[in-house]
Amino acid sequence: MRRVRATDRLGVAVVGLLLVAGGLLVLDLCLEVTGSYPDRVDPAPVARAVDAGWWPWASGTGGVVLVVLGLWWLLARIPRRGTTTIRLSGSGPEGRLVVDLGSVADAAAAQLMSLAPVASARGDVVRRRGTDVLELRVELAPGADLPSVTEAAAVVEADVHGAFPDDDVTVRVLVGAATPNRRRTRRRDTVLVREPEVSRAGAASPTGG
Amino acid sequence: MPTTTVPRARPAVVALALLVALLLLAAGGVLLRDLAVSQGWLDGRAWVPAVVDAVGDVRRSTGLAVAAAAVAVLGLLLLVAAAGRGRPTHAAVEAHTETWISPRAVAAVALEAADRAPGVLHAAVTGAGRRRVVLEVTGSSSASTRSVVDAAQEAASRAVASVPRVTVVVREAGGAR
Repeated sequence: MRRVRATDRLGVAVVGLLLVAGGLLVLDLCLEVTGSYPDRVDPAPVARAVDAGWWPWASGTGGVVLVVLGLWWLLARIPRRGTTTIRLSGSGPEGRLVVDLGSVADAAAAQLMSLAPVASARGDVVRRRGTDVLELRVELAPGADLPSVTEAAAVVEADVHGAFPDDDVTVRVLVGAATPNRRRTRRRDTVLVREPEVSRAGAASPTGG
Repeated sequence: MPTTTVPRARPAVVALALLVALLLLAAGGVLLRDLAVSQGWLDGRAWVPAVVDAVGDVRRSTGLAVAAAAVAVLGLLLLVAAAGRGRPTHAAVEAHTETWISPRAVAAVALEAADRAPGVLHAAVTGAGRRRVVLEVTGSSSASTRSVVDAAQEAASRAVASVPRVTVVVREAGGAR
């Protein structure tokens, strides 16, 4: 994805440069800042090239290149959900120890959810600066206090660090809110009060509910 | 302070690149169509020669200069977007190196504190940003604006290292609630 992002920047920058260059060129033709130009652009040289016999095949080849480039660019941005695994240090000639980080992220999210007052927790694996990061996205439960969430995050972080002491896997917890505009539910205690029934004994019977 | 990078939204260049990729496909399609027309595989007139002919009819004018300036400015904007990063989506939680909190979550924490202040009947978040959180509070006549603001601000300052300013709009409950 990092290579795609670099390609995105390069492609947009090239288009930006072309637009700036083209715009300034036409502006110069209009305003004659750097020299004097005829009132009308003469397209004859370009027209001769376009009318040549080789032009359709050359432009067609260019068209194929553009279509292939555009398709590659589009397809490269489709996220691939592959399994992220790392090999543990205990691997050797007698066998390999491989751990699926996606499962570790799921387990870490489940642990965080069990420890902290969060409405939801989701684990994912992202790669940053050569390190696999277990990214845990949690949503605060209504009324939850943040310190308990951060304490639980510290516990999960410590557990993962204990499992991967070489720091080749780290944890990042992103805390969000379940609802942006949680309105307090009107706390209303409903008490049904009956008209005092004056019994013959003269006793009233209010009923709470 | 956190050692990893700040969580950021997807930069604008990603969407622009998608547009550019589609434009590449379209341009390639035009060139292939011209090839097909020139070889008699398709009926019609080639588009590129028609554009070249049309350019010959263009004359200097104020409108053309304005259009050229607009194109150059658009190009500059694309250059800026190509170098730009996405806006930060979370802020670091103090004392916890790898825990980050969104402005909405900070607002929820401040809301909870304001909601529990004396005399507050109803509280809601009306704005949540990285620099400012706005709460709207309805309180009884006994509600103290200062205590509500202090409670919300203190909760926000405990939640995040770069504390946003908490603005509280207090309304007094009128009539029966």
